[in-house]
Amino acid sequence: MSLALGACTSTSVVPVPPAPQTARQAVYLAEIAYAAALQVAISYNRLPRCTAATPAVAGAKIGCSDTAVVAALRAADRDVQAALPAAVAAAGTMSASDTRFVAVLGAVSNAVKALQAILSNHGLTEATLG
Amino acid sequence: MGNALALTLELLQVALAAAQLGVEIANIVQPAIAKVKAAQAAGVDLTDQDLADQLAALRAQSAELSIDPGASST
Repeated sequence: MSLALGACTSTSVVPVPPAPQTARQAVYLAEIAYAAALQVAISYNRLPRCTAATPAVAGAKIGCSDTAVVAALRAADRDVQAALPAAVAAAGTMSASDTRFVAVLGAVSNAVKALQAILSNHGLTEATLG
Repeated sequence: MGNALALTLELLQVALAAAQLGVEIANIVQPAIAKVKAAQAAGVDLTDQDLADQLAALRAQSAELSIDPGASST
């Protein structure tokens, strides 16, 4: 299954990830997914906090960060960080078909999805962050 | 075996599409994806050290999220 390559902007290109073949590869790719979401969260956090004098959205770019959204992102990030070590450890000792591995990988996946959901709900992408 | 691996692939595909990759994220993601592809092409698995190194990098990256920016204008 290939991803559509976006050529709308000079830098908006989605690389085609390989299908993982092992437990270690699955965790590593999950970590990549987390890294992508985390970088967007960091870019948002770097923005000055919104105030009454600072518009929440400046044109097509988001010009400031909401304190509550940042707090939610940090909480979601802590959940991912809490789930990752078990998945990393499991990948070194279990096969991808081991139900215990599936469980810990599922925990990471759910935590990353929760982080992604916050970003999506607020329209936060590398393209929209000023 | 299929479920866990398919789950991860789907997660990554969604993450990459949602992030609307620019240069900054591409610079993080593309080398990591290339590493997995290279391992698969060579018929070898990643190592525990690969995962540990990635985890350490993510911890450092995560720490940045905890840093408040300079005080906003009042």
